[in-house]
Amino acid sequence: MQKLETILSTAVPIMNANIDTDVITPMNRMTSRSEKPLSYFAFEPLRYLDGDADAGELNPDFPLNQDKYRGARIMICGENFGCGSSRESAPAVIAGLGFRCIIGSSFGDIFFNNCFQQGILPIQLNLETVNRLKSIAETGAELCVDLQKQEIVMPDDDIFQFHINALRRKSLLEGLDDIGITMQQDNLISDWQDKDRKLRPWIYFESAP
Amino acid sequence: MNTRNQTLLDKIWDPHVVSDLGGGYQLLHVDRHLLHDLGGPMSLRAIEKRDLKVRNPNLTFAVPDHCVSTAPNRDENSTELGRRLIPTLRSRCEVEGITYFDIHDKEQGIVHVVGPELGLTVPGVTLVCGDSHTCTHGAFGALAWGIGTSEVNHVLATQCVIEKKPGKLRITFTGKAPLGVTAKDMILYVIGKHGATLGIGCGVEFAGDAVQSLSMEERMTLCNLSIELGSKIGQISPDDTTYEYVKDREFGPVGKHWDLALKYWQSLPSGPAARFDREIQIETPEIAPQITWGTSPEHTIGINDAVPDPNDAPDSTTAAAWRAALDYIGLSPNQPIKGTPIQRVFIGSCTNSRLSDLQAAADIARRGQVAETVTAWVVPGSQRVKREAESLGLHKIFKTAGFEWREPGCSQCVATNSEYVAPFERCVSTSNRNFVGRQGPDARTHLASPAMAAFAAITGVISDIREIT
Repeated sequence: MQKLETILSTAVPIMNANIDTDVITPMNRMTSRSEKPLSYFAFEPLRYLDGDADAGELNPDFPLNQDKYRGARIMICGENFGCGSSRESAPAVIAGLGFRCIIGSSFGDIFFNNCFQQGILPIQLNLETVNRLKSIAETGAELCVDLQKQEIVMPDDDIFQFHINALRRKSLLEGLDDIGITMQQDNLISDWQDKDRKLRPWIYFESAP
Repeated sequence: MNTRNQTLLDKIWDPHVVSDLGGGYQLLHVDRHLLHDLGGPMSLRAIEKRDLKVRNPNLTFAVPDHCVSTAPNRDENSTELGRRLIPTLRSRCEVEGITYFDIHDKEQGIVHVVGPELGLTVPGVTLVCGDSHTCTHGAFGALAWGIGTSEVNHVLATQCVIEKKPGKLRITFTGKAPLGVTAKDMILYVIGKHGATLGIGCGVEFAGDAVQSLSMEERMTLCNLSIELGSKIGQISPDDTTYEYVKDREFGPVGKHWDLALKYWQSLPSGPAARFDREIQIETPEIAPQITWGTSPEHTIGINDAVPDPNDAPDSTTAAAWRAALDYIGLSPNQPIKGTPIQRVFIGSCTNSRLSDLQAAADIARRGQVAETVTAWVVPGSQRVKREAESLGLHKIFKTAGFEWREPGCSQCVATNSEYVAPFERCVSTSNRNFVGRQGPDARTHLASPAMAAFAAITGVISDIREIT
């Protein structure tokens, strides 16, 4: 996975509450074949006029389509962003659109975990701070997200601190893969199973004595 | 540790920690891993590509449900996606030694219906699946949640998952549910009242006399919608109702293992002094039959309530969300929801497709005919449900009344298999999500209980089940 240390970029505010994973990646686009990448259909109901990416008319009211946010790599989002299904295509298409960081007041629990797997840093801040960041983003200013220092630096050098779990931070900073890390602990897994097998033999479908 | 202070979640979580990874993250053992046809093939291929093996194939089970057609006489080629994915799932499961229930197997069905039927879901297990409605299995006092594709790959390779222990929320339903109020109404009511963010970051435990008196199938409905409340984990402490359901299931413990398991299970319920981070009380007698009016499960009202007015919204963000929802769903502020004409009814999904759900719907269906303006489907949750329903003659009741009686699968809940509700058609659905486009582009979904859905099919409009004569 690509390492992530700092992101210096404008930020696009998408502030609708409860944007679910079916909106981020509509199921009919995931399951039908298209020459276009799935990220073309990301946020289809909001991003395209009449919610129709086939007609291809961009909705000028949707921030993602506005010139001042073009090339943004940071997204600021509304409450409960990414609620709904476990589909990892949701953070995958957001990464596909070039984003590496999403800042919001709350996220769908499964989506939040999936972000790390797609090399996206989800930052949770209180609603007031998110709204301040939104106002700053709307000026078209660049923000600097520094994962090492866990800081968001404003153009006027004002700083917002954020907290990210140490393990997740390390994985993003070093571009590490969970499977590789866990496989180094395989002996611990075997030991755990050996012990557990004696306590709960039915778990392993062993024949009863 | 004093187990009096421990919750059900603590009692399963803590002993499943294989190692502490620091910063609150832990490596947890996964006792049961379920795969389906939408995510399974990709993950099994990813493992193969990395030259890895499935670590514990005997703890992994697979069944096709998302991509299968539910048309009578279907096979894997009936949908394009099934044709592409099911052969891969079958062959990779065979190579890896994973137990696989094929499309024509007598145990095929929706993964969250089949797991409990087979006794794979028992109290105290950790169970994961690449599907957000895995929270359903928590009804048994299991610790179950949905995971993403990369996490599925991780579980296949290591039989473990990296997780952070969630906070603990308890929702206690006191009193008795009024006539016409089901587990579906109870959970929709909570989401409507407290919002779709209530449970974020928490595992929720449902408790109280109104929960204890629910059957296992009703408990599964309750836990199924935990994720719509924001909690990826929903649980109910196991009791005699639980043990009775899991006894003598194919993959459940037998003989001396049963005695050992039962003793362990009886130690799992949350202790009398269990500490929760947050507690919510619900007066069950106050609940009316529920129906959703918008595009989030929190857009729920009682059947006799009017559609909300964005001008009355608590804040501007909510007002904007309500306006967008009304625009999509094609309803006006302040109009009564009752009496709204519908074109579709879908009875099925991992929420409400079990035998008792179909019995409740059939009890309504036997009293009338599906309205001429309505297309109504009944999609049993599994082959076993279908067989049992047919042995009771339910299929005849449905067919006589003009419902389509179909094969098991996820179908119109998620429309992965191209079984869509047509654009701008209004559907009363027993499923779990009324999201924009969920049942198909521009489809308008109203979530309700099986009886409410069946009654709407007959009347042709959104109706109050308590007014049936």
